[in-house]
Amino acid sequence: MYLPKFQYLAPQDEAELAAMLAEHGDKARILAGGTDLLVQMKAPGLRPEFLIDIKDVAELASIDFDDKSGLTVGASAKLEAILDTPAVADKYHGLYQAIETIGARQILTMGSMGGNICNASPAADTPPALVSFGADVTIGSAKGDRTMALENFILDNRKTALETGEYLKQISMPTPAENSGSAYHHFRVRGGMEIAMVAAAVYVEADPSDKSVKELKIVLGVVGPTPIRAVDAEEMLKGQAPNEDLLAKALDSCAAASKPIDDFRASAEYRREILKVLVQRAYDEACVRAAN
Amino acid sequence: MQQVVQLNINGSPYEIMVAPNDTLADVVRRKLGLTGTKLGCEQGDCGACTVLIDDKSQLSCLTLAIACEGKDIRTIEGLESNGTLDPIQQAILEKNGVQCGFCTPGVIMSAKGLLNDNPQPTREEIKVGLSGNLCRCTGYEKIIEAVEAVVDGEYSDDKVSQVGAE
Repeated sequence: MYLPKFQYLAPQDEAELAAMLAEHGDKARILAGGTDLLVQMKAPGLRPEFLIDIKDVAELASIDFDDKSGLTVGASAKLEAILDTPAVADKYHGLYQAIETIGARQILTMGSMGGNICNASPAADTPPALVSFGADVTIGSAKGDRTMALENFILDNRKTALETGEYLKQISMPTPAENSGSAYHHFRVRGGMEIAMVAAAVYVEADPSDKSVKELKIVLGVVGPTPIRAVDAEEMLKGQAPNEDLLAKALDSCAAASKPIDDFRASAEYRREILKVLVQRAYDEACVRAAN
Repeated sequence: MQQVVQLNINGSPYEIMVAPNDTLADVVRRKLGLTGTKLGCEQGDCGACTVLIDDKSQLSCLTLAIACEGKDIRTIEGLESNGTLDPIQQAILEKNGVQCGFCTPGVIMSAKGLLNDNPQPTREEIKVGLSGNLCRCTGYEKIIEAVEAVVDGEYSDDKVSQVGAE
């Protein structure tokens, strides 16, 4: 299985990258880890004239955390390096769980979170978790930077808000609150090397005075072209002490908000049922973590 | 357009003409004749093409050779030294972790990458660490037992040398 022909470019810094993208526009694709892009290029279809490898652009590989500004991950930072960042394991548990499930060791050492986002697969693991943490993306180009919520960045199946000449620069998210917890749960048939058929990410912040739910984000994964915020369910549960009747209604609302497809991996009906179980598991785990 | 790249493979420097679309797997197999690295699915599912790049297990079928300039690449052929097998090779051999052998180089390179980062993995960590390598013969048990034996010190470098001397 050979790769089609292309010209290989390796910019040394962001200015060079921006200039190359400005020159080659939609004829170019950015190569980060290659675990999605090169697979797509080996199949019929994707035929970029230029591959711009960002491995030498040091600014894009950084991972930074401090309590005040939160977590910032460069677009080409390797998934394994993100897992190895102590703050991610400590404070962004749902994100840690999502990255761990992406693939085996070889995929984690090669792949990047930026690629997982820009590839915009409906089955991608990190976007639901990142949306639950309120992540923003910074987009660069020769014309300058712009920032938007990740929620608004992924537009459709395999479609992002990146315009010609633009590239993903970094992903950033605030530090989770003191009394918060998070979780990402997914469902798949095999234990390893398998794509999720349904996923759910939850971020919850408890009110320390009365243990009620102060802040909540529920994000549904793989049940629509993009991650879906279950806003109605969030509103039902916010400001209330956790209780079973309310949660049952909220779970029904999550199923109603989902837009799953029927395919060879699962029927839409099955995905809707499983979704409720996963949201409940993620919610329960996030609440337990928020209390500890 | 082909261009010359300098690759460091199994400790030796090579100057090789490569095209941008040559994968590392194609280069080591076809240009250097190092056919221990296998090509299975060629899309990142099976792990047969696993090599070490800067000590990390990576898929050579999804790595561009042109992007490997200056990196330390190790293939299955680079594990034995002076006729002595690497402890993982010896263990896989003796514990019957090989049947048809097609997945074996990838499995061994994966295990090597795992032990580089975590010299004392638990059984569960070994399973997760090798989950990117498909084997259709062994049922994995013998492979996991072999890696466990290495972790337990049964195949430390000295002991392997003794086995070789017998």
